[in-house]
Amino acid sequence: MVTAQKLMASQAQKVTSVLVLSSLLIGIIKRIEHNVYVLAPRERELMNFVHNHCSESLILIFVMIATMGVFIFSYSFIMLTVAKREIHRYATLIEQREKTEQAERKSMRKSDAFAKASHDIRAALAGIISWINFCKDDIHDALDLHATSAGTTRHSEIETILTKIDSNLKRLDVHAEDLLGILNSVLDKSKIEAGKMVLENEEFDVAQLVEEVVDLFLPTASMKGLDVVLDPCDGSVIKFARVRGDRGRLKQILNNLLSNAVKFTSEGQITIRTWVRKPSFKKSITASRERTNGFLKQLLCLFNYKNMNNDDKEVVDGSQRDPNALEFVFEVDDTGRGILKERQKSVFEDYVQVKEKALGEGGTGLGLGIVQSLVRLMHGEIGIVDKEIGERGTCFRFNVLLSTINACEDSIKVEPDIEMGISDLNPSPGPTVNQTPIASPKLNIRSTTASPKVEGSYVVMLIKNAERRRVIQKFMERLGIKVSVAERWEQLARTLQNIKNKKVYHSQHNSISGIPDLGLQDCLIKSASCNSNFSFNRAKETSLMSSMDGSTDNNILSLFHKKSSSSNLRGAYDRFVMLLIDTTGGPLPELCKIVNDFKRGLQNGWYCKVVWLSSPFTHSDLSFNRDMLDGDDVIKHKPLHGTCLYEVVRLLPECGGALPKRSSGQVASKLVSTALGSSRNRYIHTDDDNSSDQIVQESNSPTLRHHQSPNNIGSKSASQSAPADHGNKPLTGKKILVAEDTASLRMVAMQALSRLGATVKLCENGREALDLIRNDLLNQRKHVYDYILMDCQMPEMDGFEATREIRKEEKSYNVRIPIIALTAHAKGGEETRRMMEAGMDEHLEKTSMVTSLGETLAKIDHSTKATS
Amino acid sequence: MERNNMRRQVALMRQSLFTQGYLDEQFVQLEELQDDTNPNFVEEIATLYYRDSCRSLQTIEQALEKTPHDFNKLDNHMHQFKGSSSSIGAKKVKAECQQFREYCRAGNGEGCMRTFQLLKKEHATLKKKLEAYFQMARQAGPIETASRPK
Repeated sequence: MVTAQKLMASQAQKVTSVLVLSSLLIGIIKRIEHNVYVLAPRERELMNFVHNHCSESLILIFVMIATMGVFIFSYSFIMLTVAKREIHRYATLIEQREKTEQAERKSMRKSDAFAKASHDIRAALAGIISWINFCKDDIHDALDLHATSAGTTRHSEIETILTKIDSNLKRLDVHAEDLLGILNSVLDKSKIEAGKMVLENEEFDVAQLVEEVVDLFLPTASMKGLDVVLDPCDGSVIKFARVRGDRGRLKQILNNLLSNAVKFTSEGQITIRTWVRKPSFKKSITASRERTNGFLKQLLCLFNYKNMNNDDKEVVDGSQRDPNALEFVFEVDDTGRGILKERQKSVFEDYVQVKEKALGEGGTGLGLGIVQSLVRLMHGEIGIVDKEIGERGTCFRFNVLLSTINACEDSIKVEPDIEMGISDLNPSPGPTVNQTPIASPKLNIRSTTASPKVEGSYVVMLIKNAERRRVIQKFMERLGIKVSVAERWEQLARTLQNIKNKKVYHSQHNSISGIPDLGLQDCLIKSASCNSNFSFNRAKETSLMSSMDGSTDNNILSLFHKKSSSSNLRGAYDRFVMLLIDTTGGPLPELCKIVNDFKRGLQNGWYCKVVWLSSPFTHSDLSFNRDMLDGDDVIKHKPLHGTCLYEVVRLLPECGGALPKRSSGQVASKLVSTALGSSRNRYIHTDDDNSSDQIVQESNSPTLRHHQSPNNIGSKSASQSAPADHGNKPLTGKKILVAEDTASLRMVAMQALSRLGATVKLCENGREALDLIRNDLLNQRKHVYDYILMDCQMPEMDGFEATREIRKEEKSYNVRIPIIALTAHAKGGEETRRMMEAGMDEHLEKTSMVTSLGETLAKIDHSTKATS
Repeated sequence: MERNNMRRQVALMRQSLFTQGYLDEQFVQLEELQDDTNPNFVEEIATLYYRDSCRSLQTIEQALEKTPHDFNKLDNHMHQFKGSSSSIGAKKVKAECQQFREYCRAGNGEGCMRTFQLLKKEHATLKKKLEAYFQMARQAGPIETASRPK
């Protein structure tokens, strides 16, 4: 106000002075004019007079103009200053208003959320109380029953009551857990707000963590029909997997985002992408900053009144403090409902849940607020990324700063002759381990030392989910493996045919050369054993970092070095084909038929390995007849990403896998079919140590043993041991069909037989057994099984009748399979007579099944040898 | 120390099951079939058995309630049940089954019903004992070898 007045005054002054001056000027000019007119006659004098006066007046005019200029300049300067200050004040005022509004909104929402949370808490508590009451009632009932019916103890009724109580308690538990969850999130929120949240600091493996979280959500997702795909992008997260940071909180963040994604998606898939990059010092995503007036903003920028954010400074300081810190970027992408643009910003504001018919999907709305605070605590930022037009769903992206430790070594010693095909140029007997130093550490595939005519492996994929297919394809192509894709199972046969005719289509990424890049695989191999003793070469850090944009695929992978090649010397024309088949991709018998046809049609020098992908959550493999497969085949019960994917890749020869032996006398396939439920999903791995080939066989089998796997197919040991390993396992290599109706006995039989080394197929009654045998005889004209163990008493069709029928069937094929009767009776007597009449060869008492099985079978063998 | 104590308790419990006649040799055979790849084999067998046997018991009970008794059918059912009980070595249950079959063959309906009640009692008792045993065994951790009862 004061300055305004002063301004007014000075303005007035100026005006008056200008006026005065101008009047003076006019006066002078008038005078001059007057003089001129008066003195007009006297020309010379006049001219002199005018000259003199002219110059004076000119000087005067110039002086006046100058002073005017000065005045105008100072005037405008003062105006500008005043304007600046005004605008600044205005802006701060608006900002303050905004902030207060925001705070008001927040507190309103907070009380709403707390009210809602209290409702939920009350509901949970009410549930708990009511279940407790139910339990009390049930117990009273039980006690009454016990008291009144003293004579005949109604055990069964009491039992039912007790089971009721049990289920009540289970429900109680559920409610209590819910309650705990709500309270935990509320507490977390208040802790963060109070600034008391302290981050832990421990070493952990990021890639493993992400995979764990993904695995956590697999059951829920697959129940909704969703797929969860883990995309390692350029592989950088594998390289920098070991980090130091707060594992639990990061897991919390990922959990929250994933659970949201699963909650709000009803079809499609959820993709989680991770990659690493050099930390940038500016905040890229500012979803939560609310800017008001664009014009004002521009002005402010113009006048250098940016809001200095403290967080920015912190980020700068933080990463300056820790030179090892890298930015880990995570993306959770779903194909669900999506969030409207307008509401995107408000999602992160606390206590907001974008409802839009989110009925039945609980949540307190606290989640994303906590997530944002946690991410910020980790010097990162989270936001929503726009998806392409036409794609629905939401994509959350966040980055955190974590300090890495023991990143993979960037060794100069890289294998130059990575080509497997070097054997045809340069036949060397043993493993080719040439450790010649290469000039630049960035031994890129771009270097031209490679001979492009290497025969790499082929992979044919039949995978239902498009996104997963893309991810796997990208991953493998990065490694230099040629991938062909069959989108539907009908196309599979054609694709296989193309491969056979060597009309392989090269993938675009593989254009540079045909060398498979093995660096990444090395890290994968190492990562499995979790013993990375690599040291990071600091000097090359910056150059590595700069190349790590994630945009050029091959760069990163070349930085890994390959360990001594586990060479599988192949002939010049050897080809290895791996089939990745999703068991839900088509009707299973058809798929098996196609695969078998392909295998049969393979030429010499071609090796084929099939990996069946099924999920433990879909019940498609209940009808999965494992006997349709070779012993070579691998079955994976987990979705193909993360460690599962790396293992499958490792099966390829250039990545350390072994070539399957082509001999038909296979070592006993230890795949055992079970009739039991999914509680048995135990995955038994064998990890290699350093040099030898590894075969990873995972199956639902409870009897796969560690010590047997080195004996399995394709071991480096020279000779392939004959199937019979008599001392320990007299039944190695035998296939036995067991028909028994009692579940527990079935299981006992299976366990007993498997221990003796046999492959067991179970069925429940005589009819099933008959059907199986009939099918085998029809398809293969001979018996698939070596023995049948037949229980005598079974529903539908008992053992005797089944045996009779089987003998009838056999007549037309002129075969005979030994059938052993299982009986609960003692030997001898009428039972025995019936058995012999029906056509059984031997009988065995159920109780002594375990002990006398071996000798009974031996007896049969002897007698068959004698007769044949 | 705690472990050893627990293990000793488990062993004692197991011993008592044998000496009191609840289990017999078959159970030992089952234990022998259990190994590292299948650490809970016996428990799973027992669970399966109880699941199936509950159903069979109900069937038998229903058949018993129908008069006149169809002894043939009862005998068959009981034969089944006896078979599965012997598979886990349930000695006392088996004995009762045998008794039941005798009564069936003699055509003694009363005797059948009485025996059946006893049978159910034995069944339930054994179930409780086995559950307790398995729970304790699980807590104590894997025991090295199954030793034969003396």
